[in-house]
Amino acid sequence: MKTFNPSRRQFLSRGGKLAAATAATVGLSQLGMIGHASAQTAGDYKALVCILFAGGIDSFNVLTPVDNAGYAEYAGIRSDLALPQSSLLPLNNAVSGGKTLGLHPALTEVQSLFNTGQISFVTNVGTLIEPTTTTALQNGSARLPLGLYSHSDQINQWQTSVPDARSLAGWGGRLADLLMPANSNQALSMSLSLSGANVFQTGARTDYYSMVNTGNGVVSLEGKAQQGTNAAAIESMYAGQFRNLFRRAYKNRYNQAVSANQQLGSAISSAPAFTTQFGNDEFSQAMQMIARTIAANSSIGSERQTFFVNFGGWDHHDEVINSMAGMLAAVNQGLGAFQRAMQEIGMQNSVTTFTTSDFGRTLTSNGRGSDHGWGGNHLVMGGAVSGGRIFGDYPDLSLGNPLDTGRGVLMPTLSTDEYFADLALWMGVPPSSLSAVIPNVSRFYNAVAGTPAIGLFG
Amino acid sequence: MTKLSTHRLVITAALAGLLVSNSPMLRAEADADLDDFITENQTESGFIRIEDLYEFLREYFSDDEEDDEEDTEDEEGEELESNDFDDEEDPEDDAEEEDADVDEADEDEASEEDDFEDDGDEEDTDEEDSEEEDSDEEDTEEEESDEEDLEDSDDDSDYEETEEQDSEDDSENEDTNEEDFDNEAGECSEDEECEDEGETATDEGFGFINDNTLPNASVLPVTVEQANEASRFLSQATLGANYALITQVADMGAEAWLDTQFQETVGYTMPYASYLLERIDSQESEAVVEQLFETQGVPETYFYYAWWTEVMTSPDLVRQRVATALSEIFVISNTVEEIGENPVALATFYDTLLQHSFGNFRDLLRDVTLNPAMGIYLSHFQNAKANPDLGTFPDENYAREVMQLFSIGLFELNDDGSQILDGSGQPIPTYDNNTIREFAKVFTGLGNGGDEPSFDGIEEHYPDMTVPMVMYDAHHDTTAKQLLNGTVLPGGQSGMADIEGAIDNLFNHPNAGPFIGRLLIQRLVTSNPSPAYIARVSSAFNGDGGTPRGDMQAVIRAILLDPEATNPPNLASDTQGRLREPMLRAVHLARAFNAESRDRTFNDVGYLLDEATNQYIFNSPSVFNFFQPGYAPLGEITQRGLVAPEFQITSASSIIGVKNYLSWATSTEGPLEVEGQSTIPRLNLTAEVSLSTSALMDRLDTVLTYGTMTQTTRAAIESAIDPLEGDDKVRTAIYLIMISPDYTTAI
Repeated sequence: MKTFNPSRRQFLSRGGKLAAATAATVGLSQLGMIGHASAQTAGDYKALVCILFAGGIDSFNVLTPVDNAGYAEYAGIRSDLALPQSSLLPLNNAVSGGKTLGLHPALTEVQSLFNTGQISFVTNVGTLIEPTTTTALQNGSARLPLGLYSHSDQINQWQTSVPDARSLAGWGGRLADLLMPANSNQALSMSLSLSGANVFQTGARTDYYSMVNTGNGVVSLEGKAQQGTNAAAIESMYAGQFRNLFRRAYKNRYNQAVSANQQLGSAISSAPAFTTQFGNDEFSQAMQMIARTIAANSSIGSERQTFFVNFGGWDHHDEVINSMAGMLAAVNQGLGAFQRAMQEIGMQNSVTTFTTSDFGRTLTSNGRGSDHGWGGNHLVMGGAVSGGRIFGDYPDLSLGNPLDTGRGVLMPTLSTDEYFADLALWMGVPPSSLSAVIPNVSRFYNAVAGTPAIGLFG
Repeated sequence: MTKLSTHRLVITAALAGLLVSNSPMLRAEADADLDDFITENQTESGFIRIEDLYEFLREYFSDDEEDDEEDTEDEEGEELESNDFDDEEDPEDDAEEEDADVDEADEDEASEEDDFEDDGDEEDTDEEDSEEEDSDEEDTEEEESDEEDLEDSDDDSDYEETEEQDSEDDSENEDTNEEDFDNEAGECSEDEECEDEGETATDEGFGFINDNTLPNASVLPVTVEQANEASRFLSQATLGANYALITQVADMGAEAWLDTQFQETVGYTMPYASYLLERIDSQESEAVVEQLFETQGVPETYFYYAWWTEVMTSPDLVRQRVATALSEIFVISNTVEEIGENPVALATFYDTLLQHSFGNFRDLLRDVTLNPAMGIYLSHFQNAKANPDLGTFPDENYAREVMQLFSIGLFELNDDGSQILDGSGQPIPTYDNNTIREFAKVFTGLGNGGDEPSFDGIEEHYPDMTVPMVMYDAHHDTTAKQLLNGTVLPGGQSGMADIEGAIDNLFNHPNAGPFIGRLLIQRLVTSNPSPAYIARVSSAFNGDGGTPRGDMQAVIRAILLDPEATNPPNLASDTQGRLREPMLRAVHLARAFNAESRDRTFNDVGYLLDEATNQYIFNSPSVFNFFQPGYAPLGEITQRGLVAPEFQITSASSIIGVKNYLSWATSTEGPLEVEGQSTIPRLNLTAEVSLSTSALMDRLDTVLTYGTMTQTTRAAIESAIDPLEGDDKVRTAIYLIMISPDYTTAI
């Protein structure tokens, strides 16, 4: 029965739009085999891969103290949500905030990438309007992000980096507004989404291009369009002259889409196949399609690209331990394969992958899981990254510590502005233009001086 | 998670029933066991995970014989009689299920129906049945196999039984604002409808009669010009019309027909959505639940089932169209789990929009404000007054959005929608941050309106979604509030008095008419209305014609009957028209070509729609809707200073994806036609299949493009379909037209 797939429906309707993909291929055939073409050279190419853990990942169970004192503090506040000390994966020289840190047991590949200098963590990062303190919070002088603790607002602000206004334009979109004009390819957006509509890549002058994670990554006319003489009829309709402005605009947009699709699809089809094996889960498949697109770039000609993947379902008000174990295993597998694939084509220094989420979660347990928090931990992966490091000070986790705003909801010590500023600078945004991409960044540091905010890239 | 309290009676009765009889002693024993279970498993806030409940019930039952378990289900069914549909067998289950458990359950339900035969209500049902014999349904059913016919007639009687019960239960309700909303929460949504039923025919139920499927006999003789004019009107006023309805409206006249629509029975979504949910919630057996998930979908989909079923079958065509438009102004989104996973949250919200679509804007604004899903989405649920000790302040979300998006917008407007400029030619902001803070104080103290009244005792994101939030005055800011245009709410008022005062303040703001008027014009008629058009709609909103301020019928009449909407389409115009919303093209297909379903439900016809089109009702990525009213695509439209909101979701991939979706949907394997699934909706193309190429194109040009198809497009399509025959020819023609620039932009 074609009409039904409950688990899929469930996944989709939860807002985990990772599968937004298969959309247009409904019930229709997959497209061609991967061909072989000339080897990819890195050139000036740079890409950012933004992974959104929608729902709010409990990231203090991702990056966790392992030393006895640190673990005791962690276990004390997390109670039934604490991972066993012996299960945590050790990291080389991962000392921050006076604690030695380890990883969730599912993150074996991440462990290895950290230890070989290809992954670093950014700790206690979150949405901030301006630098503030818990004292300011308590006396009411702190300006706080709109809709703090609310999914809809926080997921938005992690994509816009503008927590003092509701905006539809994301910082990836503003990045594209600035950098896309320099791309050789002006027909294909530099913003490619594996998860359909998103705020991150919505710009004022640029739009994202939605890819699918199957076939050659693009949506082509299928079904009836291929039957009889329909293709000729469609071509003829879209060659027609329309006096009405809306019809003309729609016709033009369609013709542009067809041309972009053909170009991208054919480039991906003819890119060399990877020997790296990816998993079959949605996240791995999305990461594989990103890898294939990057491999095809020599014939696409987008010197700068961003990719967006939404891996949702982290709102673990209950069952946080079990759910996270399974989902982090998928994250681990997808990230590991992706980085191996980048090495395979020699692009590991040209591609930086970073994670985002709505917020961190309460350190205290609600009895089954954790609730909406604020600051959290994230990772940055790639050969250009100053790897094997913890950026920022890992926070005191004890209840009532100076950063605790209640229930172990931690006020961030790094802003998303600082986090994203480093990524934008790495992509080639001139320091003088950084505020066009990260509007509030000057509240946190002087970008014009030319030094990075955090130093993610050494 | 579930609030066990709402199911407690049912479960207690089930457990007691298991232990042989309904004796008070055994019931008490069951109650005690249930207490123990709750104590052991509930969260701090009194929630029980549904999985734990199933586990408990399974263990409880496993000590007893299988037969007893089935009996228990009967008991439970009786307890649940208040649920409108509980006794209804699922026709698809009957046809498809091979699982022994399910079969047994079905048998039990069948015998339960026998029990009901003794009830007085049944006789009425029979009467209704015979009335029903004359309906169009009958013709269709006769074409099907005998065996299926039998099943179907069973189903019919179930539905009618339900309808009858409803109308009796609710007949006493009056259509007044407060009561209506309060009642709407639980089973109520049929209030208005049942009241209407008292006055009109009883065969319209709440949405399981496919009135859309009109036989050819009801095609009236009208000229092509008349038909095209009516078709264009219906493309603005409804979610889609077939040829018969087009000719009927052409014959009757748009205005007269609109008047009849204002009186139509309301097709609320709550009855069917809550029925589907209760069917899951009332199962003890996890295996049966899993089976239902497999065959009937998961709860996240149930609102969508109900919405499709209502927009396809309910006679309130204009009301459904307006409510769908309002869902893109008063935006909530299923991307927030607490809303998306709970079908009654979406159903309650949509029904609130339906309820007030033909009412008054002030009531709409008030009830949207008090709706718990909105409270979750814009975080004024459990929004507490400032607490100096904790350093907390009222949440400002709703305060900001109710002004910016739901009532007055950012800048002072003239009645014609243009901005009022200050002395230096700058627009004048309607509010500032202080105003937001003052309104934020108003929206404090709202909490759970469900049957566990407490401001913050309910776990943060799980209020009872079926009832409005209620005011907890102890948590309401009682200082004076400085609102807009010099209005001050005095200190010490009750929380609800403050909220009513704030709603009045926004409702009476001069911006309300032009702001909401323009948004509705854009959804229904054109992206770029002239200032004069907006002014005429503002005038209707303002009550210049003698109607009360905010009268939605006056506003809708002004929008749909305005010359700018009804004047013949001008193909050379730059400002006429709008891009058809992608999701509405799918609904249009189903409605225009008589999609019919033998069980009269349209559960899954929206499958994959959101993925294909980037758009599905209540699936907006943010409070800013799928697209913004001022969006202009780069290129000619921007250069001309015009807007085209729907282009914002017309990306390089979705522009192809929608076409592929329409290919699938018009095929014999799509969501509207699945071979071997007798109860699944299918297009009924019998009226079109006998037409010649030329006559077919004439017909489709009227139905889909109301005579605006260009010669190039028509010639291209004619040459493609001319070699084809029969059904395939019609489907191909529909597909090609629906993916053409001519159809996609409604001029």
